[in-house]
Amino acid sequence: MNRFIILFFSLMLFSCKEEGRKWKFVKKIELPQKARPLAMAKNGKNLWFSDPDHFRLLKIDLSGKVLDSIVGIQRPMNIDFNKGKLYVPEFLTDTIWVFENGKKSPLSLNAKPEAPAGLNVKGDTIAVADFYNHRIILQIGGQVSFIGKEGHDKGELYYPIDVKVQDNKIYIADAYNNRVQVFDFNGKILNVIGEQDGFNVASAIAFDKNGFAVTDQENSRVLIYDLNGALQQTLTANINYPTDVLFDGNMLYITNFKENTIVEYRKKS
Amino acid sequence: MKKLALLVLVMVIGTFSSNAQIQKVDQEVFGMDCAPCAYGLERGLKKMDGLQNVRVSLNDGKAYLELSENNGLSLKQIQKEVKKNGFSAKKAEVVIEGKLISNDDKIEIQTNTETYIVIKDASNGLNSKLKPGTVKVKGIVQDEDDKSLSGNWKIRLTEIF
Repeated sequence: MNRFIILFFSLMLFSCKEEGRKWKFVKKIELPQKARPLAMAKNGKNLWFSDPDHFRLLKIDLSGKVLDSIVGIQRPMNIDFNKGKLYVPEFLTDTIWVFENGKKSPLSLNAKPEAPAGLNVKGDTIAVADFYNHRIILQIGGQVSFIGKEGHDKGELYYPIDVKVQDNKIYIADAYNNRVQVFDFNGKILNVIGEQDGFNVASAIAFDKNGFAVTDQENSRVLIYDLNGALQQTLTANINYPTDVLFDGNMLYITNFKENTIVEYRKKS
Repeated sequence: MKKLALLVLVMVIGTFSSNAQIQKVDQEVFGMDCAPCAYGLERGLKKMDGLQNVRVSLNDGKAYLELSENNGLSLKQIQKEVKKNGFSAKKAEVVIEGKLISNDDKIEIQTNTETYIVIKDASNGLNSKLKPGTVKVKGIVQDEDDKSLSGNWKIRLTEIF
Protein backbone atom coordinates (compact mmCIF):
# COMPACT_ATOMS: atom_id res chain seq x y z
CA MET A 1 0.00 0.00 0.00
CA ASN A 2 2.84 2.41 0.95
CA ARG A 3 4.59 1.62 -2.32
CA PHE A 4 1.40 2.39 -4.21
CA ILE A 5 1.05 5.78 -2.49
CA ILE A 6 4.70 6.67 -3.20
CA LEU A 7 4.27 5.67 -6.83
CA PHE A 8 1.07 7.70 -7.09
CA PHE A 9 2.67 10.87 -5.69
CA SER A 10 5.80 10.37 -7.82
CA LEU A 11 3.61 10.21 -10.93
CA MET A 12 1.71 13.33 -9.82
CA LEU A 13 4.96 15.22 -9.24
CA PHE A 14 6.39 14.13 -12.62
CA SER A 15 3.18 15.13 -14.36
CA CYS A 16 3.23 18.59 -12.71
CA LYS A 17 6.88 19.07 -13.67
CA GLU A 18 6.15 18.13 -17.27
CA GLU A 19 3.18 20.48 -17.32
CA GLY A 20 5.43 23.27 -15.99
CA ARG A 21 7.79 22.73 -18.90
CA LYS A 22 5.04 23.29 -21.45
CA TRP A 23 4.75 26.58 -23.30
CA LYS A 24 1.92 28.77 -22.05
CA PHE A 25 0.36 31.87 -23.51
CA VAL A 26 1.33 35.06 -21.69
CA LYS A 27 0.14 38.05 -23.69
CA LYS A 28 -0.32 39.71 -27.02
CA ILE A 29 1.99 42.56 -27.93
CA GLU A 30 -0.16 45.08 -29.77
CA LEU A 31 1.62 46.61 -32.75
CA PRO A 32 1.12 50.03 -34.32
CA GLN A 33 -2.02 50.34 -36.39
CA LYS A 34 -1.76 48.89 -39.89
CA ALA A 35 1.42 46.93 -39.18
CA ARG A 36 1.41 43.34 -40.41
CA PRO A 37 4.31 41.42 -38.86
CA LEU A 38 5.70 38.73 -41.13
CA ALA A 39 8.99 37.84 -39.46
CA MET A 40 11.11 38.75 -36.44
CA ALA A 41 14.73 39.00 -35.32
CA LYS A 42 15.88 39.69 -31.78
CA ASN A 43 18.19 42.66 -31.24
CA GLY A 44 19.22 42.71 -27.57
CA LYS A 45 16.08 43.30 -25.55
CA ASN A 46 14.16 44.50 -28.58
CA LEU A 47 12.58 43.00 -31.69
CA TRP A 48 12.87 43.90 -35.34
CA PHE A 49 9.95 42.76 -37.44
CA SER A 50 9.36 42.91 -41.16
CA ASP A 51 6.14 44.51 -42.39
CA PRO A 52 6.16 43.74 -46.11
CA ASP A 53 2.66 45.08 -46.70
CA HIS A 54 3.99 48.50 -45.74
CA PHE A 55 7.45 48.08 -47.29
CA ARG A 56 9.23 48.55 -43.95
CA LEU A 57 10.83 47.08 -40.85
CA LEU A 58 10.05 48.27 -37.36
CA LYS A 59 12.06 47.89 -34.18
CA ILE A 60 9.93 47.62 -31.05
CA ASP A 61 10.39 47.00 -27.37
CA LEU A 62 8.45 44.19 -25.76
CA SER A 63 5.53 46.47 -24.98
CA GLY A 64 5.13 47.21 -28.69
CA LYS A 65 6.58 50.72 -28.60
CA VAL A 66 8.29 51.62 -31.87
CA LEU A 67 11.98 52.47 -31.40
CA ASP A 68 13.30 52.57 -34.94
CA SER A 69 12.28 51.89 -38.52
CA ILE A 70 13.66 51.12 -41.95
CA VAL A 71 11.42 52.08 -44.86
CA GLY A 72 11.33 51.64 -48.62
CA ILE A 73 12.18 47.94 -48.71
CA GLN A 74 10.40 46.13 -51.54
CA ARG A 75 8.63 43.44 -49.50
CA PRO A 76 11.05 42.47 -46.70
CA MET A 77 10.59 38.81 -45.75
CA ASN A 78 12.16 36.44 -43.14
CA ILE A 79 14.89 38.57 -41.57
CA ASP A 80 17.88 37.51 -39.47
CA PHE A 81 20.06 39.26 -36.91
CA ASN A 82 23.64 38.15 -36.37
CA LYS A 83 26.60 39.88 -34.72
CA GLY A 84 25.14 43.36 -34.88
CA LYS A 85 23.96 43.01 -38.47
CA LEU A 86 20.37 42.89 -39.61
CA TYR A 87 19.89 40.81 -42.78
CA VAL A 88 16.83 41.62 -44.87
CA PRO A 89 15.79 39.61 -47.94
CA GLU A 90 14.02 41.93 -50.38
CA PHE A 91 11.55 39.71 -52.19
CA LEU A 92 10.84 41.91 -55.20
CA THR A 93 14.39 42.87 -56.10
CA ASP A 94 16.22 39.58 -55.39
CA THR A 95 18.55 41.45 -53.06
CA ILE A 96 19.60 40.76 -49.49
CA TRP A 97 20.39 43.93 -47.59
CA VAL A 98 22.70 44.14 -44.60
CA PHE A 99 22.04 46.94 -42.11
CA GLU A 100 24.80 47.80 -39.66
CA ASN A 101 25.23 51.00 -37.65
CA GLY A 102 22.66 52.78 -39.77
CA LYS A 103 24.36 51.84 -43.05
CA LYS A 104 22.86 49.66 -45.74
CA SER A 105 24.80 47.45 -48.15
CA PRO A 106 23.92 44.46 -50.35
CA LEU A 107 25.02 41.04 -49.14
CA SER A 108 27.68 39.54 -51.37
CA LEU A 109 26.13 36.30 -52.54
CA ASN A 110 27.73 34.27 -55.30
CA ALA A 111 24.44 33.01 -56.68
CA LYS A 112 21.35 34.94 -57.70
CA PRO A 113 18.16 34.03 -55.84
CA GLU A 114 14.77 34.53 -57.43
CA ALA A 115 12.64 36.03 -54.67
CA PRO A 116 14.67 35.45 -51.48
CA ALA A 117 12.14 34.56 -48.81
CA GLY A 118 14.36 33.92 -45.79
CA LEU A 119 17.91 33.44 -44.67
CA ASN A 120 20.09 32.37 -41.79
CA VAL A 121 23.63 33.53 -41.14
CA LYS A 122 26.00 31.58 -38.87
CA GLY A 123 29.61 32.73 -39.01
CA ASP A 124 30.72 32.46 -42.62
CA THR A 125 27.78 30.18 -43.49
CA ILE A 126 24.83 31.79 -45.23
CA ALA A 127 21.70 29.84 -46.18
CA VAL A 128 19.06 31.52 -48.35
CA ALA A 129 15.56 30.24 -49.14
CA ASP A 130 15.41 30.77 -52.92
CA PHE A 131 11.62 30.77 -53.23
CA TYR A 132 10.98 30.59 -56.98
CA ASN A 133 13.93 28.31 -57.70
CA HIS A 134 12.68 25.85 -55.07
CA ARG A 135 16.10 25.47 -53.51
CA ILE A 136 18.41 26.66 -50.77
CA ILE A 137 21.52 28.61 -51.67
CA LEU A 138 24.26 27.59 -49.26
CA GLN A 139 27.33 29.79 -49.21
CA ILE A 140 30.20 28.79 -46.96
CA GLY A 141 33.20 31.11 -47.04
CA GLY A 142 32.27 32.26 -50.52
CA GLN A 143 31.76 28.74 -51.92
CA VAL A 144 28.23 28.20 -53.19
CA SER A 145 26.22 25.00 -53.39
CA PHE A 146 22.52 24.33 -53.84
CA ILE A 147 20.22 22.14 -51.80
CA GLY A 148 17.00 20.68 -53.16
CA LYS A 149 15.14 21.02 -56.42
CA GLU A 150 11.49 21.55 -57.36
CA GLY A 151 9.20 18.67 -56.51
CA HIS A 152 7.17 16.89 -53.91
CA ASP A 153 9.21 13.78 -53.23
CA LYS A 154 11.56 13.31 -50.33
CA GLY A 155 14.53 15.64 -50.75
CA GLU A 156 12.65 17.93 -53.14
CA LEU A 157 11.31 21.36 -52.25
CA TYR A 158 8.24 23.36 -53.18
CA TYR A 159 8.48 27.08 -52.43
CA PRO A 160 10.78 27.08 -49.38
CA ILE A 161 10.21 30.15 -47.23
CA ASP A 162 12.55 29.81 -44.27
CA VAL A 163 15.83 28.05 -43.49
CA LYS A 164 17.93 27.51 -40.39
CA VAL A 165 21.46 26.19 -39.94
CA GLN A 166 21.75 24.13 -36.79
CA ASP A 167 24.40 21.61 -35.66
CA ASN A 168 25.85 21.36 -39.17
CA LYS A 169 22.44 20.59 -40.62
CA ILE A 170 20.11 22.63 -42.81
CA TYR A 171 16.48 22.76 -41.65
CA ILE A 172 14.12 23.98 -44.37
CA ALA A 173 10.54 25.19 -44.05
CA ASP A 174 9.38 23.37 -47.18
CA ALA A 175 6.31 25.56 -47.10
CA TYR A 176 3.97 24.20 -49.76
CA ASN A 177 5.03 20.59 -49.29
CA ASN A 178 3.74 21.15 -45.74
CA ARG A 179 6.78 19.80 -43.93
CA VAL A 180 10.28 20.48 -42.68
CA GLN A 181 13.19 18.78 -44.41
CA VAL A 182 16.64 18.33 -42.94
CA PHE A 183 19.78 18.08 -45.08
CA ASP A 184 23.49 17.86 -44.45
CA PHE A 185 25.83 20.41 -46.02
CA ASN A 186 26.40 18.12 -49.01
CA GLY A 187 22.71 18.17 -49.84
CA LYS A 188 21.98 14.69 -48.55
CA ILE A 189 18.50 14.38 -47.09
CA LEU A 190 18.58 13.33 -43.43
CA ASN A 191 15.05 13.65 -42.17
CA VAL A 192 11.51 14.71 -43.08
CA ILE A 193 9.47 16.16 -40.23
CA GLY A 194 5.81 17.00 -39.88
CA GLU A 195 4.28 14.99 -42.71
CA GLN A 196 2.00 13.24 -40.22
CA ASP A 197 1.11 16.42 -38.37
CA GLY A 198 -1.35 18.00 -40.78
CA PHE A 199 0.59 21.10 -41.78
CA ASN A 200 -0.96 23.56 -44.17
CA VAL A 201 1.96 25.78 -45.18
CA ALA A 202 5.02 25.32 -42.95
CA SER A 203 6.30 28.86 -43.09
CA ALA A 204 9.01 29.34 -40.44
CA ILE A 205 11.41 27.51 -38.13
CA ALA A 206 13.16 28.57 -34.92
CA PHE A 207 15.51 26.70 -32.58
CA ASP A 208 16.24 26.58 -28.90
CA LYS A 209 18.48 24.17 -27.00
CA ASN A 210 15.68 21.59 -26.59
CA GLY A 211 14.32 21.52 -30.09
CA PHE A 212 12.57 23.65 -32.64
CA ALA A 213 9.25 25.28 -33.44
CA VAL A 214 7.48 25.36 -36.81
CA THR A 215 4.61 27.65 -37.81
CA ASP A 216 1.58 25.99 -39.39
CA GLN A 217 0.36 29.13 -41.10
CA GLU A 218 -3.03 28.24 -42.51
CA ASN A 219 -4.06 26.18 -39.47
CA SER A 220 -3.03 28.94 -37.04
CA ARG A 221 -0.80 26.64 -34.99
CA VAL A 222 2.82 26.42 -33.87
CA LEU A 223 4.22 22.93 -33.39
CA ILE A 224 7.09 22.28 -30.98
CA TYR A 225 9.47 19.38 -31.74
CA ASP A 226 12.42 17.92 -29.87
CA LEU A 227 15.79 17.72 -31.61
CA ASN A 228 14.90 14.26 -32.98
CA GLY A 229 11.80 15.63 -34.65
CA ALA A 230 9.28 14.16 -32.20
CA LEU A 231 6.25 16.38 -31.65
CA GLN A 232 6.17 17.73 -28.07
CA GLN A 233 3.44 20.34 -28.02
CA THR A 234 0.94 22.10 -30.27
CA LEU A 235 0.26 25.76 -29.56
CA THR A 236 -2.99 27.36 -30.68
CA ALA A 237 -4.04 29.88 -28.01
CA ASN A 238 -4.27 33.38 -29.47
CA ILE A 239 -2.40 32.39 -32.62
CA ASN A 240 -3.84 33.76 -35.85
CA TYR A 241 -2.07 33.07 -39.15
CA PRO A 242 1.47 32.70 -37.76
CA THR A 243 4.24 33.47 -40.20
CA ASP A 244 7.25 33.41 -37.88
CA VAL A 245 8.39 32.15 -34.52
CA LEU A 246 11.34 33.15 -32.34
CA PHE A 247 12.83 31.67 -29.13
CA ASP A 248 14.45 33.86 -26.51
CA GLY A 249 15.37 31.84 -23.42
CA ASN A 250 12.12 30.88 -21.73
CA MET A 251 10.13 33.10 -24.04
CA LEU A 252 8.63 32.31 -27.41
CA TYR A 253 7.33 34.95 -29.83
CA ILE A 254 4.93 34.32 -32.68
CA THR A 255 3.82 36.77 -35.37
CA ASN A 256 0.08 37.03 -35.99
CA PHE A 257 0.29 38.27 -39.56
CA LYS A 258 -3.41 38.96 -39.93
CA GLU A 259 -4.07 40.81 -36.71
CA ASN A 260 -1.23 43.21 -36.01
CA THR A 261 0.04 41.40 -32.94
CA ILE A 262 3.00 39.37 -31.74
CA VAL A 263 2.11 36.67 -29.25
CA GLU A 264 4.30 35.89 -26.25
CA TYR A 265 4.48 32.41 -24.71
CA ARG A 266 6.55 31.35 -21.73
CA LYS A 267 7.66 28.16 -20.03
CA LYS A 268 9.32 27.46 -16.69
CA SER A 269 13.04 26.79 -16.83
CA MET B 1 2.64 71.47 -98.14
CA LYS B 2 1.37 67.94 -98.81
CA LYS B 3 4.09 66.55 -96.55
CA LEU B 4 3.10 68.94 -93.78
CA ALA B 5 -0.57 67.96 -94.09
CA LEU B 6 0.39 64.29 -93.98
CA LEU B 7 2.53 64.88 -90.89
CA VAL B 8 -0.33 66.68 -89.14
CA LEU B 9 -2.70 63.85 -90.07
CA VAL B 10 -0.30 61.22 -88.70
CA MET B 11 0.13 63.22 -85.49
CA VAL B 12 -3.62 63.57 -85.05
CA ILE B 13 -4.20 59.85 -85.61
CA GLY B 14 -1.25 59.02 -83.37
CA THR B 15 -2.59 61.24 -80.61
CA PHE B 16 -5.97 59.54 -80.74
CA SER B 17 -4.65 56.01 -80.84
CA SER B 18 -2.14 56.54 -78.02
CA ASN B 19 -4.90 57.86 -75.78
CA ALA B 20 -7.31 55.07 -76.63
CA GLN B 21 -6.14 52.86 -73.88
CA ILE B 22 -6.65 51.51 -70.43
CA GLN B 23 -5.20 53.86 -67.81
CA LYS B 24 -5.92 52.39 -64.39
CA VAL B 25 -7.01 48.99 -63.12
CA ASP B 26 -8.05 47.83 -59.66
CA GLN B 27 -8.19 44.10 -60.31
CA GLU B 28 -9.89 41.70 -57.89
CA VAL B 29 -7.80 38.57 -57.46
CA PHE B 30 -9.21 35.35 -56.06
CA GLY B 31 -7.08 32.72 -54.32
CA MET B 32 -4.35 35.00 -53.05
CA ASP B 33 -4.02 33.83 -49.47
CA CYS B 34 -0.38 34.17 -48.49
CA ALA B 35 2.16 36.98 -48.50
CA PRO B 36 4.71 35.41 -50.88
CA CYS B 37 1.86 34.52 -53.26
CA ALA B 38 0.68 38.13 -53.39
CA TYR B 39 4.18 39.50 -53.73
CA GLY B 40 4.89 36.91 -56.43
CA LEU B 41 2.01 38.31 -58.47
CA GLU B 42 3.42 41.77 -57.88
CA ARG B 43 6.79 40.59 -59.24
CA GLY B 44 5.09 39.20 -62.34
CA LEU B 45 3.07 42.34 -63.00
CA LYS B 46 6.08 44.61 -62.49
CA LYS B 47 7.87 42.80 -65.29
CA MET B 48 5.14 43.77 -67.78
CA ASP B 49 5.91 46.69 -70.06
CA GLY B 50 3.51 49.59 -69.75
CA LEU B 51 2.83 49.51 -66.02
CA GLN B 52 3.87 52.57 -64.09
CA ASN B 53 2.80 51.59 -60.58
CA VAL B 54 1.97 48.15 -59.26
CA ARG B 55 0.79 47.27 -55.77
CA VAL B 56 -0.81 44.01 -54.73
CA SER B 57 -2.71 43.98 -51.46
CA LEU B 58 -3.20 40.67 -49.73
CA ASN B 59 -5.60 42.39 -47.36
CA ASP B 60 -7.87 43.71 -50.09
CA GLY B 61 -7.35 40.78 -52.46
CA LYS B 62 -6.62 43.27 -55.23
CA ALA B 63 -3.91 44.38 -57.60
CA TYR B 64 -3.77 48.15 -58.03
CA LEU B 65 -2.25 49.15 -61.36
CA GLU B 66 -1.47 52.50 -62.91
CA LEU B 67 -0.53 52.26 -66.56
CA SER B 68 1.98 54.49 -68.24
CA GLU B 69 1.16 56.81 -71.12
CA ASN B 70 1.15 55.16 -74.52
CA ASN B 71 1.03 51.71 -73.02
CA GLY B 72 -0.03 48.95 -75.33
CA LEU B 73 -1.49 46.81 -72.58
CA SER B 74 -4.89 45.21 -72.53
CA LEU B 75 -7.00 44.02 -69.61
CA LYS B 76 -6.75 40.57 -71.14
CA GLN B 77 -2.95 40.60 -70.80
CA ILE B 78 -3.22 41.72 -67.19
CA GLN B 79 -5.75 39.01 -66.34
CA LYS B 80 -3.60 36.40 -68.10
CA GLU B 81 -0.67 37.39 -65.89
CA VAL B 82 -2.91 36.95 -62.84
CA LYS B 83 -3.84 33.48 -64.05
CA LYS B 84 -0.21 32.63 -64.83
CA ASN B 85 0.61 33.26 -61.18
CA GLY B 86 -1.97 30.72 -60.06
CA PHE B 87 -4.88 33.00 -59.23
CA SER B 88 -8.21 33.87 -60.74
CA ALA B 89 -8.98 37.38 -62.01
CA LYS B 90 -12.45 38.56 -61.06
CA LYS B 91 -14.12 41.96 -61.47
CA ALA B 92 -12.00 44.99 -62.19
CA GLU B 93 -12.53 48.70 -61.78
CA VAL B 94 -10.92 50.43 -64.74
CA VAL B 95 -10.33 53.88 -66.13
CA ILE B 96 -10.27 53.79 -69.90
CA GLU B 97 -10.11 56.27 -72.70
CA GLY B 98 -11.47 55.23 -76.06
CA LYS B 99 -13.64 55.89 -79.04
CA LEU B 100 -17.38 55.80 -78.42
CA ILE B 101 -19.32 53.78 -80.94
CA SER B 102 -23.05 53.92 -80.61
CA ASN B 103 -25.38 52.07 -82.93
CA ASP B 104 -29.00 51.10 -82.42
CA ASP B 105 -29.28 50.55 -78.72
CA LYS B 106 -25.72 49.32 -78.25
CA ILE B 107 -22.89 51.46 -76.85
CA GLU B 108 -19.26 50.39 -77.09
CA ILE B 109 -15.98 52.02 -76.14
CA GLN B 110 -13.02 50.92 -78.22
CA THR B 111 -9.46 51.21 -77.01
CA ASN B 112 -6.47 50.31 -79.17
CA THR B 113 -6.63 46.74 -78.01
CA GLU B 114 -10.10 45.93 -76.72
CA THR B 115 -13.81 46.64 -76.83
CA TYR B 116 -15.88 47.54 -73.79
CA ILE B 117 -19.63 47.02 -74.16
CA VAL B 118 -21.46 49.46 -71.90
CA ILE B 119 -24.13 47.78 -69.79
CA LYS B 120 -27.49 49.50 -69.76
CA ASP B 121 -28.01 51.02 -66.36
CA ALA B 122 -30.88 53.41 -65.92
CA SER B 123 -30.16 53.91 -62.22
CA ASN B 124 -27.29 56.37 -62.59
CA GLY B 125 -28.20 57.82 -66.00
CA LEU B 126 -24.56 57.96 -67.07
CA ASN B 127 -24.99 56.19 -70.39
CA SER B 128 -27.19 58.98 -71.75
CA LYS B 129 -24.50 61.55 -70.91
CA LEU B 130 -21.90 59.94 -73.19
CA LYS B 131 -21.02 62.11 -76.16
CA PRO B 132 -19.68 60.92 -79.53
CA GLY B 133 -15.92 60.94 -80.04
CA THR B 134 -13.26 60.14 -77.50
CA VAL B 135 -14.49 59.48 -73.99
CA LYS B 136 -12.77 58.82 -70.70
CA VAL B 137 -14.76 56.77 -68.23
CA LYS B 138 -14.49 54.76 -65.06
CA GLY B 139 -16.45 51.57 -64.61
CA ILE B 140 -16.68 48.06 -63.28
CA VAL B 141 -15.72 45.37 -65.76
CA GLN B 142 -17.65 42.17 -65.22
CA ASP B 143 -15.90 38.92 -64.41
CA GLU B 144 -15.22 36.70 -67.42
CA ASP B 145 -14.16 33.08 -67.41
CA ASP B 146 -10.36 33.08 -67.19
CA LYS B 147 -10.21 30.26 -69.73
CA SER B 148 -11.95 32.19 -72.49
CA LEU B 149 -10.91 35.82 -72.30
CA SER B 150 -11.94 37.39 -75.59
CA GLY B 151 -10.97 41.01 -75.08
CA ASN B 152 -14.62 42.02 -75.32
CA TRP B 153 -15.69 43.22 -71.90
CA LYS B 154 -18.95 44.28 -70.32
CA ILE B 155 -18.58 47.46 -68.33
CA ARG B 156 -20.97 49.22 -65.96
CA LEU B 157 -20.09 52.91 -65.92
CA THR B 158 -19.59 54.69 -62.60
CA GLU B 159 -18.08 57.99 -63.77
CA ILE B 160 -17.54 60.07 -66.90
CA PHE B 161 -14.53 62.39 -66.87
